[in-house]
Amino acid sequence: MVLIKTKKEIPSSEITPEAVYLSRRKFIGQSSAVVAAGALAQSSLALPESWIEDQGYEPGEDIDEDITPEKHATNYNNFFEFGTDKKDPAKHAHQMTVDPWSVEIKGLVEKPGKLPLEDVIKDIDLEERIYRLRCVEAWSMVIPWIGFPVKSVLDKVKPLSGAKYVKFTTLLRESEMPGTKARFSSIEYPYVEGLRLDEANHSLAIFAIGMYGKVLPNQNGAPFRLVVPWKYGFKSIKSIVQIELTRRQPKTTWNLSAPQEYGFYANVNPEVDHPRWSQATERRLPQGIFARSIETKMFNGYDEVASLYEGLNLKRNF
Amino acid sequence: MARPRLSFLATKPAKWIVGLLFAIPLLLLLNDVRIELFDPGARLGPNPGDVLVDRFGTWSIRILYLTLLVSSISRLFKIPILVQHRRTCGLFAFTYVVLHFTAYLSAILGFDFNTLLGDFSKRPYIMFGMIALLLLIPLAITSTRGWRKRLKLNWKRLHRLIYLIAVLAFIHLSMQERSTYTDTVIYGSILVLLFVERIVYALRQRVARANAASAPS
Ligand code: HEM
Repeated sequence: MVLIKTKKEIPSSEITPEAVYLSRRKFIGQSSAVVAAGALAQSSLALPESWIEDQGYEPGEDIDEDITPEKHATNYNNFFEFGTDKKDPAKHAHQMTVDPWSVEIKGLVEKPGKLPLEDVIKDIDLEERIYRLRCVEAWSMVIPWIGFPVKSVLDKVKPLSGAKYVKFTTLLRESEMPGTKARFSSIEYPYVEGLRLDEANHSLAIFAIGMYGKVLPNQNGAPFRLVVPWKYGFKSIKSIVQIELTRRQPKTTWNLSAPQEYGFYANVNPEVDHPRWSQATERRLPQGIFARSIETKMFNGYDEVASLYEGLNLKRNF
Repeated sequence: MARPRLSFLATKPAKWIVGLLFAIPLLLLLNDVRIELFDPGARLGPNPGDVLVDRFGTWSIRILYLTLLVSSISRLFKIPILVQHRRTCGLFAFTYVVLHFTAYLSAILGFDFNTLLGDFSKRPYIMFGMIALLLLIPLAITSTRGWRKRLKLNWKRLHRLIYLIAVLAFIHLSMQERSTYTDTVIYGSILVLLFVERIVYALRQRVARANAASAPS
C-alpha cells in the first residue's frame, strides 16, 4: 500500500504564497523563517492525528464487499474547489487550513451559534461505518468512515418545528482553493448541499471525521463532512463550515448548475439515467481495463431508506 | 516557391519524423495499457477506462484541428510544402478517434452493442461523435494519391466534409462540459479562427480573380 504524500514531501513553492516565494529569492536569510512558518501551518490539523486513536471507536460491521484500497480513495477524488482532475484534490488540498475549524449552526434551531469543531463532536461516540460510495459518474468505492449520526448533532442544536430541510455549506477560501478561481466556471461557490430533515435524521446519514482508522485527509473533506450512502456522492458534502435549518428546500450547487442532470434528491437509482450515461451499472474501483461493471442497486443497496420516499415519484424527483 | 531551408520538409525522413511525433502519445498510452494489464492501477489510476477514453478523445480533437491548421499555416506563411504532411496528420486524427471509440466500446461498455445503439439514439453527444467518426471513414479511405486522381474535382468536394466533422467534434466536446467552459472556449476559438482564415483566403482569391479578369489583355 502506498502511503499518502507526507507533508515533508511537498515542495515549499506549493505551500508558500507566491509573493513570499518570489521574494525569498531576494532575501534568502529572511526566508528560512517563512518556510518554517509555512511548514508549521502545514502540519497542524483541526484534530490531532491521534484524535481517533485516543477517542477510540466502535469498529464497523463488515460488509460482504472488498474495501477500496486507501491509496485509491485518497487519490481519486472529486473536490472541484481544488481542480477538476481526479488527481487535483490530492495535489492541492493540503493548502486548505483545517485548524482552527468552526461550524456555524443557524436558521430554525433553538441553539444557533458558531462552534469550534471540538465542541461539535464533544461527548459524541465515534463509530466506524463501512459504506458503499456511488458517484453520479458511474463508479463506486467501499470506504470505512469514522463518524457519528447526523441526528446526534441535530438533537443537540434542536431544530424548531418549522424546520423542514438542512442546508450544508463547504468552506470557500479562494487563496487556498485554486479550483475556485478557475475561469469559465459554470458552478458557483461556496458548494451547497441539502437534505430533507427526515433524511438527515435517518440513522444511516453520518458526519465523518475520519476514514481508514485515521482523521480525514483534506482531499476527502477534512475535517468534517457528510456521508449519505444511498445518494450519489456529490450529496455527501465535504469540509462543512455551515449547517442551516430551513423551511424551504435549499438551492444546491449541482442542481442549480444543471437541473436536468442533477436532482435535489439524487438517490442512487439504476432506472433513471444521467442524460449522458446509464446509471444501471457502475465500475467498482479499482477496476481493470477489461473488467466487467457491476449492477447498480436502488438506493445503492440501502433498502431501509425506502420508507422515506413512500408516495414520491422517484423518476420525476430524481 | 519553397525556401531552401524548408525543402527538408519534403523529404522522406521528414515524413518519418512527423509520423513518429504523432505516434508518441499513442505509444505511451499503449505502454500504460500494457503495464496496467499486469499491475492494475499502476499507470492510469483506479478507473483506467475513463482515463483512456479521455486521453484518446483529447488527442483526437487536437490532431483533427491540427490537420485543418496545417493548410492555414501553409497559406499564411507561404510554405506549400507543409501540405504534404496533411495526410499523415489526418490519418492520425482518424486513428486516435478510432481508439477513443474502441476504448469506450471495450472498457466502458464491455462490447455491449445494445447499449451502444441506445446511446446513439438517446444521447446526442454520442450521436454527434459517432457521425463524426463515420464521416471520417470515407476520408481516410480516399486519402491516397490513387483515389485523389480517380476522384479529381470530387475529391476536393468530398474532403470538405472535414469541416462538418470538426464542427461535430466541437459540439460533442462542448456538450459534456460540466463545471467549466474552458475546452469550449479554447476549441471554439480555434475553430472560429480556422474558418475565418479560410473565408478571408477565399475572398482574396475572388478579388484577385476579378482583377485578373478585368485587367486589359
Ligand atoms: C471526431 C470524433 C471524436 C472526437 C474528436 C472526440 C473527442 C472527444 C473529446 C475531446 C472528449 C473529452 C475528453 C476529456 O474529457 O478530456 C471526448 C469525450 C468522450 N467521447 Fe469523444 N470524440 C469523438 C468521437 C466519439 C465517439 C464516436 C464516441 C463513442 C461512440 C465518443 C465517446 C466519448 C465519450 C464516452 C467521452 C467521455 C464523456 C465523459 O467523460 O463524460 N466520442 N471525446
